[in-house]
Amino acid sequence: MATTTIDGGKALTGLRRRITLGYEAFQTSARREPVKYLTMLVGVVVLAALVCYPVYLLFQFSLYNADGKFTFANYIAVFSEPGLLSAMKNSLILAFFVPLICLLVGLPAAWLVSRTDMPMKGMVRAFAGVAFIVPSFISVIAWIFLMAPNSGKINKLLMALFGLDAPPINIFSMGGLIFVESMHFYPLVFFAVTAALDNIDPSFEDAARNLGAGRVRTAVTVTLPLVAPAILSGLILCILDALAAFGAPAALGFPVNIHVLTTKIYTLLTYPPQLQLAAAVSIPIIFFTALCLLCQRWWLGRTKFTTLTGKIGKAQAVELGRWRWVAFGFCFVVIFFSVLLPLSALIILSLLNTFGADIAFKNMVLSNYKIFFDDTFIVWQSVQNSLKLAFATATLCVLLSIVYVWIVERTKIPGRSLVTFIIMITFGFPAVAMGVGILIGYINILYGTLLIIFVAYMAKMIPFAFIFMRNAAKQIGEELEEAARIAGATWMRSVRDVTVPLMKTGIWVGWVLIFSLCLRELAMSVFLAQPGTEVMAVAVYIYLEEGSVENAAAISVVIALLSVATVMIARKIAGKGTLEVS
Amino acid sequence: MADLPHKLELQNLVKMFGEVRAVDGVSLQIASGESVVLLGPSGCGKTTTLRSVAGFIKPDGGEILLDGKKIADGASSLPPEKRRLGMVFQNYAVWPHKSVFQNVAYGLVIAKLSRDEIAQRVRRALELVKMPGLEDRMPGELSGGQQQRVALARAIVTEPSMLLLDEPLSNLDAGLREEMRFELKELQERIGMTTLYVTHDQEEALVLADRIVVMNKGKIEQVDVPREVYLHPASRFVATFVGVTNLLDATVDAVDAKAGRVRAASALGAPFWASSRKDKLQTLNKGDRIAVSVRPEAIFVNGSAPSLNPKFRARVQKSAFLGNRIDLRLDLKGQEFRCQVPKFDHAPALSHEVDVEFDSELAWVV
Repeated sequence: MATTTIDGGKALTGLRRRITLGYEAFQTSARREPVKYLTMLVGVVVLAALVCYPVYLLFQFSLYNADGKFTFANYIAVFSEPGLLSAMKNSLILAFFVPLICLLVGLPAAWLVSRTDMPMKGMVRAFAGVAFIVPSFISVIAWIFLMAPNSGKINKLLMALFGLDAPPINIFSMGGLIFVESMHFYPLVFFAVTAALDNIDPSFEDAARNLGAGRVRTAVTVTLPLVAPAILSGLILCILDALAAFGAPAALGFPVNIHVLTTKIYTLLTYPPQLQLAAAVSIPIIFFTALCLLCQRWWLGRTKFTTLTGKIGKAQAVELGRWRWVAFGFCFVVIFFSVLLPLSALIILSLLNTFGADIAFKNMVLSNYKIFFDDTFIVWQSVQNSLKLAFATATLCVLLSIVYVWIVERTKIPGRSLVTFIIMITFGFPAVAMGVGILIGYINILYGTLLIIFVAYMAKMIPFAFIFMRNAAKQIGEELEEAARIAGATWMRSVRDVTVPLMKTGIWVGWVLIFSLCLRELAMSVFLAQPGTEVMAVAVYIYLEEGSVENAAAISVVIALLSVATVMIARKIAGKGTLEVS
Repeated sequence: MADLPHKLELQNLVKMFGEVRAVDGVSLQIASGESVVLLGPSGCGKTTTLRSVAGFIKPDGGEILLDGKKIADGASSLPPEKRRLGMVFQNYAVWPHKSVFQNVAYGLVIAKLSRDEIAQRVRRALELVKMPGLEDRMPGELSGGQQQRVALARAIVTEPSMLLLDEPLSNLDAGLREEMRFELKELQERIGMTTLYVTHDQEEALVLADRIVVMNKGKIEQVDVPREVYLHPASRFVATFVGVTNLLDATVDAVDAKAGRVRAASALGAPFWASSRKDKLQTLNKGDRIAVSVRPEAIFVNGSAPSLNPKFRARVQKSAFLGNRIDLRLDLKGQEFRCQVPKFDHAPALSHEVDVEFDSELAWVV
């Protein structure tokens, strides 16, 4: 508790007393309820091993060179070596343009869907969801198929139509990368804004209309400022995700030697591995992430109004008149480029017998899917690995999160906000950096095992489980658990009989979502996987690298289907609202 | 005869939240079968005290003894599940995912009673709270009042050594609240259960309590039967918190120890007689400053009853018709006084002057 006191000495003795009292009380409680405190202790130790240790190592390694001497040389290299400098420049370009396009696409779409009478709104929402669920390293395969400079189908089409000499579009470029990423991340802005707009108190706008403001003026001067915090949240998530992305930049950048920070880290880890430099390259991403999160916290702390006042009545939809179908046209273009085109291209590609073949039924075969069942390919093994890892990660994340949520929400242990902080760090940590940290930390004991990937997944996914569990727990009044205690139940029993059943929905939704996220994780898996421990996403990557694009497409289709299926299940369990971004 | 221990004893209980002494040296003894109400404004420490007895809060100082055995002090605290208490929470805390039967049976299941015994006791408890036959309903289908009865049944079915209730009626609507007050009191007397209530509603306290404990800022101001707390408040706070009163600053003019009264001189003019406790009288001397609490019903308007006190002239400032009486605000030498006139046809008109007297037995030195 921070007290602004002029007498710093008095505040300090107060703090010391509180810590002493807290510790003594803790000791006596621990003696009385050993199971509870042991469980919490184990949880905290696991958290430290998963998060604190790798993060610490990351910082430590960045400050030493290969001989073990303390040095700043790594950081100097990051900011001076041309390859690294250009990678940083490209990352910043991504971090600027991707959110910009997401805003230009997502904001109008959100307003149209939430506040107007545009037709087919449900369809637009659903497809925006699909655009987000299908990972960008998968849609990038489709885009390569469509817009590669020489073999891309769209290029060929355009060249034939307009009699061009050179292919007009080259997907292997920064522009291409920005395009692909934007199509994948615009739902972040879309869902954040629709969530805010759906819950806006209609009387704010009614008051403006009553005083003479027209539709557009009301939208710009009243509605827009009210949803500004939501827009900012969505934008920040776009920035962070654009910075942390690995799959699309790798697929589009490696062939033409365009690097961003994440792909640079990857190359630094290929033989011979330069761990120290890789660690040093990760640090700027981390700091930039922290900066963005702090900005968001500061901004959200400033806004002193709430728009959620409990539904008094749904706001009246703005009538677009003859603009209805124009509006829908805009949304349709977005859906077309973000979902319809890439997904259908992907499916077609997975059915083609060879990459360069023309699209014709005579060339369509199911043989590519045979790789799932053929032992000589890595795919079957990778599917098993993915399923095992996803299952174990989801289950353990959920169980551990119950403990963490208990510590944070139901005890008065000093330092529990530190637990929240540590968990949320990994939320903002780029996956690549996390992968490097875990690699450094556990490579000696867990080299080449599924376990090291498991550790990485756990570290990255715990915040998701934590957020879901926490929201669920917040809705359970403490009195419900206290009533069980008074009736004679021990702490463990009251958690089992009251807390867990009431959190069931949160638990299931969290489990399913983490399961789905694990199935398509690429950025960490690609560092940590060895022959035999690949996961499905890594299999896609390997096939892409060696040129078997159809095989890559086949696996991608399966991943995409699994992702959509799991999210649909989650929605069913939770009712609507699962896809909303807060 | 052997000295039976008190059902509950608090010895100098202390609880701090940060630098604030939420419970500041509270000592209390509750006898078996007694119904005690902790009454006070929010922040006075009554809920903290109750939750300390329940075991959800660990004291920083003092001791809590249940049936003569120490269950908590500054160093250790018996966990709630081992105290064998029953508790009704302010929001009832009826588990929404369990049926009425499962809710009420929970404590018995933990105590590992047989299925038949559990079914029998649950049925009896539900009958006691006037909710027979609703075993299979889910809480979501019940009204607030019904949920509260389920919570009550759940608390008493385990036959706890003591029952704790945290503002049990505050979430009910006004009519139901009045009805439930009497039902609770009747139930408590019937089963002879020692109970500790917490409430901020003084009318509720007056109905429910065998003894009222008035608390303020972590300390106890007065412990007594309801009649005494109302008629003979021990301090300014108790006088103003329990019921409505007019507080008058005065100085002691004369002491009549035999009749138990003092003559008080005030800014109103002629001195008047007011009553006091014998032990307080002994400490009073001529010239001491005192406060006198004069309740509205202790003021006679326009000679409505004879008294030993002189009449004062007052001007009627406000008048409100409340059905069975008229509330008056009078201006007595610049100070506002509240009083009431029971009969409609005696109501004085606004801005008119009236004669006012104090009943010397009801005017009380605090």
